[in-house]
Amino acid sequence: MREFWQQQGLRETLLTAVDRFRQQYPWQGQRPLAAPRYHYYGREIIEAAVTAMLAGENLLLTGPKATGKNVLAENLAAAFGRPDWNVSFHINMDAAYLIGTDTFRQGAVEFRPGPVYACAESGGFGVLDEINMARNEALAVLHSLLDFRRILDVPGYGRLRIHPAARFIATMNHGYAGTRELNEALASRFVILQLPVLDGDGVERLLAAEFPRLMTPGRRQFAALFLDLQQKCEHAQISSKAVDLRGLLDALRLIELGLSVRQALAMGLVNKCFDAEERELVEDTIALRIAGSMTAAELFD
Amino acid sequence: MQTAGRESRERRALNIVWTAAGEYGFRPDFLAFQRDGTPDVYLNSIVGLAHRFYDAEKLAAYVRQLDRSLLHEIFEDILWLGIEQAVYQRELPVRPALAELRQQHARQFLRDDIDVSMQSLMLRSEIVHTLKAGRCHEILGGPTGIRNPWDKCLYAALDYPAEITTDEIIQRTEGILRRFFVFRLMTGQQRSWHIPLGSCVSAWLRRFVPHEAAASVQRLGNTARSAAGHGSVESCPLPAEDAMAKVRRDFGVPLLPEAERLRIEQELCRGSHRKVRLYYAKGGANPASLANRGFWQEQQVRCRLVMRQLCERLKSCLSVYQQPLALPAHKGRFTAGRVWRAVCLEDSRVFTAWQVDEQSDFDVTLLLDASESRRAQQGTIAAQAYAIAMSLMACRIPVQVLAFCSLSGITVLSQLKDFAAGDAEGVFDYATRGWNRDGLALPAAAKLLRQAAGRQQLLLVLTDANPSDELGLPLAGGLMSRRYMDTPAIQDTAAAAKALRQQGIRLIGLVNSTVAGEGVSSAAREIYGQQVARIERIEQLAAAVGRLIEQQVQQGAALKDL
Repeated sequence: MREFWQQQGLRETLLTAVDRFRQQYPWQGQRPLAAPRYHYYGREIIEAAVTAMLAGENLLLTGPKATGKNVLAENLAAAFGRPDWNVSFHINMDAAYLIGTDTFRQGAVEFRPGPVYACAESGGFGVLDEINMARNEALAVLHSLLDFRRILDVPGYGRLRIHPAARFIATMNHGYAGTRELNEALASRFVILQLPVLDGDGVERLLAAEFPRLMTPGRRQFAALFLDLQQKCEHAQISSKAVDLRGLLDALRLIELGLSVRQALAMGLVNKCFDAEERELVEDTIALRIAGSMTAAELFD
Repeated sequence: MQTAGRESRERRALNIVWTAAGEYGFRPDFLAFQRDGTPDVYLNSIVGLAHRFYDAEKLAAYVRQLDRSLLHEIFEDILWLGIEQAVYQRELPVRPALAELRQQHARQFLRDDIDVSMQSLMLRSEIVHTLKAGRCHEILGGPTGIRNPWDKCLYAALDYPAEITTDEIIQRTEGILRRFFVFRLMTGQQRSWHIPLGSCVSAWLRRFVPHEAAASVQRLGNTARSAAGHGSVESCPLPAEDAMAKVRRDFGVPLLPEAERLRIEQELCRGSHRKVRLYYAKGGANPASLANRGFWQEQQVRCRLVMRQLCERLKSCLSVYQQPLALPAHKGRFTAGRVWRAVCLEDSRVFTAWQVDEQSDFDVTLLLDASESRRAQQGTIAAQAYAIAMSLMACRIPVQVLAFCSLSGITVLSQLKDFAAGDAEGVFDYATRGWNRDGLALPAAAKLLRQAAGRQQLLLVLTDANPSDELGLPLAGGLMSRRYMDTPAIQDTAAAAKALRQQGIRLIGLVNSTVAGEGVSSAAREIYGQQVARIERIEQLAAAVGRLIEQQVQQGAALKDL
């Protein structure tokens, strides 16, 4: 990760500070360290995020779909040499799910730590994914954990003082169905970084990194297709369901393995829209970029 | 169903144009469809690409010039044949998929050409058809099939190069028309003369004259200004019985029995409203219905997505609001605190299952300000109300829609949709007239809320937060009265709103005024407190309504304390 960040042009002072952090808090636990599959591109954003982590802040990454929020969080954990605990938030999330719950083992009730407790105790990087999916009341339990107190009270089991290397990175997307606004109390416990939408170069770079065999013309068309869908969504013609970078990568993976191009795109993008009209709009957008007769041989070396 | 299908196809065609243009919001006059009604992907993409590459204004002006000619339809087809060639060549290097789309289009054109009715044959222009067919044959790799030397020369001249500019397109087209049609561009009353080759009503690219999609809004605006100019707002109250008779005639069937109406009138028309009367009407079709439906159809592309978003948001909001019921179960989430029952009582239900009740336990009433001041936004308000009502219904939330206005001292509430109606079509009967005495309309609307025990009532008011009535506010013991407008009217409405909240009714203000300024915002805040949002574009509707309803359902207990 250091090498990649150097290539990105990150300030040497920041890289040195990250090195110092790693020396100060070497990971010796059982949990494997984060091994990111993708790299986040964008020097300014990385610098801001690294600075926040070094300052001991909790970081809230906001931005629309496919802006690399989770990729950045994973990259940070890897760069700082800490394991990550990824918690996907949902509507029925409650405090017990986050902190832990009683369990019955060998005839006795004992505490079974939840992911946030385990992360805070071990000094990991906790990724609170789509934090605004949960009810604000369920999140109140995190307040003391995320502010200057850095403690976690577990009724009946005492108080946990958070490991100094522990950091919490939350992600949220205002536009997702099912999301809501984060309340002020929780938002004030984070520094907030707005991630920019990927541009054509960014998507092409990502495709090149993920699919080295994908030839330039094909890469351009798929990047352009993604931008077309993004623009259509911005203008409220389609929902964000088909603006799915993960889906596009999945489709390319299927194509590389020999599935027909249109079939793969249907599986990766089109079929994510459950509304028939919306599917037609997505199909038309694909038709304007990707020929129906296109084969894997035309795309890959 | 047919209308819905047509709108859907039109939306799809527009999207192809916009995608290719890389720009949204403009509306080309021309959209291309195949014979079965399916949008033609290739031709619509060419329209979009032409919009991107060339100066639309200049081309539109040129087409208008051509329109003066007797053969303008042929000339426009010729212009577009040239443009198609240039656009294709220019875009192909960056969009290779265009080659396949062009071939598909050519195949379809030639296939359709085999089975042509006599009527179509009589209507079509042979020269244009020959050129198009030649182009299609060439696209598919064959000879053009054009034999006439004159036609061949014309066809060759239409091979516009990729790098051609807007000015060059115009210049080159004029050259072609002069050379092949002895064309002379005319001005004033003069007309050019030509060999009559027949009329062409082609399904091919014909026009490229963009105009703003909001034209209907402009028309509505003009109507409003015109109506205001003719003094349609009654300024002199009629005698009481005459006025009531007129209201009965204008608004139609009464909603409530006369005894019930009188009882409510006696209860509410006192104090600030002691000289005012009340009337409840059932609502029904009127001249505004057609205009509102027309507006909705024009804006449906935007509104349908807003409806879906609002629906999702409401479902999300309901999922927050509906606390699932925890039940002991044989499977589910393990509940350690119940383990002793397994050991001591042999009760194996040591897990918790969650039961979610999908029915909402609240009703929503939409109250629309239907005063003359809303005339310019009549279509917009009807569309917003329709979108909200349909979204609520999709989430199985009971909803009724009321509209209110004041005429000749009578505050009229029209029920556009009742709780039982299976659709919200009645909302399009929303018509604006008269004044708006909000301070009386709010409690009057509250009388139509459901009284079912255990069900909460949300009253969502679409308003400009500018109450005003021709009948003033009487002063205690005196003959003089203050006008019902500005601060006194706002204070009166705020008091009425507060009284409703004290009764446990959850009141939400949705301000959709076009009048900018702090005045509207501060008036809205005074009346509706924190439960207010401002909507300037319909795209904001889902987020605003969802947020307000979410706040209401979460803060219900707090509101009761007010």
